[in-house]
Amino acid sequence: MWYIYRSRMIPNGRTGGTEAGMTAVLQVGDKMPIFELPTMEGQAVGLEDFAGKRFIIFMWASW
Amino acid sequence: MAIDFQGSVKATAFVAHAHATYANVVDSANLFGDLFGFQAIPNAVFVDETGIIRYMKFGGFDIRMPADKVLAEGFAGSPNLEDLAAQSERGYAFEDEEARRLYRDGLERFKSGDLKSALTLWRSSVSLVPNNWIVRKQIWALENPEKFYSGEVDFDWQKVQIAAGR
Repeated sequence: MWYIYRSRMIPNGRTGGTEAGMTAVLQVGDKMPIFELPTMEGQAVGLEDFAGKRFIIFMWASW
Repeated sequence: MAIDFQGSVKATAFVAHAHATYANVVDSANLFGDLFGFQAIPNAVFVDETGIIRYMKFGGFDIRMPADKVLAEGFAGSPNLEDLAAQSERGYAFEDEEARRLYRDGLERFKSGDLKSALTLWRSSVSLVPNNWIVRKQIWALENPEKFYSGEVDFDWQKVQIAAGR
């Protein structure tokens, strides 16, 4: 599996989650959880690549 | 970040067309859909240097629009980020848990190659939340690729689908 998601690392106790329930979603003020996703070329990019920097996640789709 | 369960195969051409110079990733497993719970795109999430989420907008974020551009530039340069939270827009939040479960189950079926079951589950999800464009439009793209991937995206065709309740 190419992505890492650790819901327990969200410090305010939200569980968000991909496996065990989907009741809580991230809100403004929450800590961004650790994530890692592949680029178009298959290289991994994750939260650690933006450590100490402000960044914007822009979400779009081909459809 | 491309929200594309078909993966980079479909998204790559759009990145090239945009001449994007920033990191472009693909979320084919709906990781961010689960984390944030949205039912429309384009979205933006602003994260500060300490990793705290300062702003989010679900549906309709467009950096070409003056209001969104001002927000983004302000985020990049402002020492005070407190005012951003009040401007967040979560109007397209995906809050129906059963619909989310059906979408996720469909995604797992799709990944395993069971397209028929995936489409059935996704349609059930859309029946619960008709305005979930994340699910609905991916069904369209899968069943009608010529309307999405043969030159320009056919938005007139999409309007017809919406009017017909598909």
